[in-house]
Amino acid sequence: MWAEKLTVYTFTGLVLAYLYFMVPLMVVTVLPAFDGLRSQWREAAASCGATRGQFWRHIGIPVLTPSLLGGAVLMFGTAFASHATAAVLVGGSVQLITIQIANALNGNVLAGQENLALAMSLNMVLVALLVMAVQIPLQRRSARWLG
Amino acid sequence: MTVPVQLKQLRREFGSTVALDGLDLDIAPGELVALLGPSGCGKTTALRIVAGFESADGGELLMDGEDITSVPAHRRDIGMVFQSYSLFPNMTAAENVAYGLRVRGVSSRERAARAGELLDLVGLPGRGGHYPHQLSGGQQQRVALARALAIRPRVLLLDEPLSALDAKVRLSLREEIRRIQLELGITTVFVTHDQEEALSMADRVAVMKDGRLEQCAAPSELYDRPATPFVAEFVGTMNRVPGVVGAGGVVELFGRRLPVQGEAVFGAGAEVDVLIRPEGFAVTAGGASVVRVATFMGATTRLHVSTPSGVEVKVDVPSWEADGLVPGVSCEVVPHEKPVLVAERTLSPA
Amino acid sequence: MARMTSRGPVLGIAALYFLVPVAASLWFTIDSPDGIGFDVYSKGLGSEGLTTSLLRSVSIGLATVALGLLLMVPTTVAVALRLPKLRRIVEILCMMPLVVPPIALVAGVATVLSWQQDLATTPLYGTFQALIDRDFPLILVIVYTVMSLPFLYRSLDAGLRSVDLRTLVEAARSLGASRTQTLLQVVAPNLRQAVMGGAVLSLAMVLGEYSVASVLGFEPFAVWMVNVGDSEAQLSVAAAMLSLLLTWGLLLLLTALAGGRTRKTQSRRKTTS
Repeated sequence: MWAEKLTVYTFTGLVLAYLYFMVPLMVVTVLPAFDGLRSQWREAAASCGATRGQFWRHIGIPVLTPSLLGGAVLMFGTAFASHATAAVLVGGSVQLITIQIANALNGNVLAGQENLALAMSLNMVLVALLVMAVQIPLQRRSARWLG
Repeated sequence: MTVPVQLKQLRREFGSTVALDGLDLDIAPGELVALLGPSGCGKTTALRIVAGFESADGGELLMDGEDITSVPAHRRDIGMVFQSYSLFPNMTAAENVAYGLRVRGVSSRERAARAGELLDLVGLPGRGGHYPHQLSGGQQQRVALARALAIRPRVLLLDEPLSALDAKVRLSLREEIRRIQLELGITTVFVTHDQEEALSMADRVAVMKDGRLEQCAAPSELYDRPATPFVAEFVGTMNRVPGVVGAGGVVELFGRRLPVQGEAVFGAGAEVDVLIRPEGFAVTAGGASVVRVATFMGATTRLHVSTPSGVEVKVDVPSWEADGLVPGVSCEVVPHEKPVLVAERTLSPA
Repeated sequence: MARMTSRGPVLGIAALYFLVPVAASLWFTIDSPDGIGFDVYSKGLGSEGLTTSLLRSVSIGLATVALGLLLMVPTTVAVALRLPKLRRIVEILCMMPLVVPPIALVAGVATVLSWQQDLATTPLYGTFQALIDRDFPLILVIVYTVMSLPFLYRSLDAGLRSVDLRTLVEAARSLGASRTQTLLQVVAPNLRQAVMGGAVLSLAMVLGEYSVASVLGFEPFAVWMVNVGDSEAQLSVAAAMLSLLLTWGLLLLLTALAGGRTRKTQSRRKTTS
């Protein structure tokens, strides 16, 4: 019964599908930050008397956080803007704004909806701008600490 | 609070490379010992073993008489200053300095007071609120020093702390580090590849080569009485002049008979290279040698002189005596009456 | 940070992560009621729909790359050599396409194309017809060029920065090279890596692009793959395998180009040390 429900053609299924191609993307985005953790910090902390746990708590994780957050925000933006995967997998069964825009343009559901498509597109652009507004300062902070 | 450190027969191998080959070194309390040598000689490895970031494959490490060879780094009560990039980027200078106290559970009020005290000591009053990326290289190293000293460590370790800095900053910071070290009287080990740095700062300099100690002595002794040819040539400049050992442990050079320094390793008739410093010669005008190059260096002028036997020697003369000694002028080069070091003859010119 | 875990298990998991879906897809294409058959590859891949749409995509892709490079190379070189103040503006303009999701972009494009009705009696009609030609839609070329600007800009910018173009040009000029000679013999060869890198990324993007093409009603490779999936699922997946190979091939090409440069500089360094 549970296996029957777990197909790709549902909301959960779509999330899993997105996760599949976005996990590598997140890894690639965040990996430079992990590489940037200098061994001198670990050693300096040890010379100050910090255990491994204290190092991660006080220095390691705080330094990685901007990059992790930035990656997460980027993932949100990518998922939000995604159309192709959603269109092919779920078509009309899951309500997504990208699919709505496509339908409005194609006249698939109702004709004459072009203006609605434009309005929704503008909303998407605003969201994308917001995502960038958050992501860029985070990126800069991360680069400054790890560069 | 200031303790002696002893390194006994330390060995460290990385695969097939031997980084340390039985290093023995005794550091007295309050002493500043510089580990000096070419890259790959093992000086950084030795320091890292003292710090606890690497473990020795053989030998012992004692601090205040206690064997700390197996004590983990964070429990050794040392302070360490790295070459660069060691300040925690997410903390201000003051927070960096106070970190050692923070992990020891000291109250925040006490931490702030101590951080302020140390930042004053290293010459950065009022910079506590700055982040590392807002500080210059020299300032960052001062903060690193303050951080290392905040916990009142038993031993202070410095791994080429000045190598990444500009020449001018290097000079001023060099003096400051020595001043602070003397003021606090803390046992210090300092790794450097810059011999000028080592000679000017240290109480004793340990010259290392291929994982072993060549000589550990006060700077003047290293310079005047080097124990091995390697030390002689590594510290300062040395001329290599071919000569023959005569009877009674002397060697004849430019018309003078000079006693051979140290143990009589070479028998009479042996062909050797005589090692003489540029300031170990006197130059007079007129003679069989010719001045090839004269380089003005301020107080001294360095001459490159071609001798009749074909050997070229470097001679340093005080500049006020060097007026007539220009390229092309003929002169006479005479070694001072002092014992000289001799080494095995090398075939190619030095 | 120290390699805390050994590489083996990590690589193993990564390999599984990427290979399992591919393996499953491959299995799907060769599994039939009569047992294993490679029919879909021997017959299907020669089928007309696939070759037409693939050729369409490739030609659009090449045109996009050509237009993009024609636009970006002179611009970036000019900015690097003569107009450093414009750098900020060029950078913002080129990164803007990243802010607009493709589906939003196509909404605007579709609207502009719908003006065709109003302009039916004007000379612009011919232009519109050329733009939406089924076999070689110029409109897609134009839109894709805009979408590829970020890749091209990033690649060319990185390439220019790694070379210190100004010094090279000054050196060439001081040795007596004319302006054309400098551009052809000094600037162009040094940009080759960056140009190829940007071109490969753009081409990969065009080959895989779905949203814009499908909404505008064209059928390049990606769209065809989806459409044919309703009737001939195995063929669709087989085509997907083919496109995967193509993309891997392009990426290998890109890595080889990038590797070529490091290998050359490394061997140069060895001889001079």
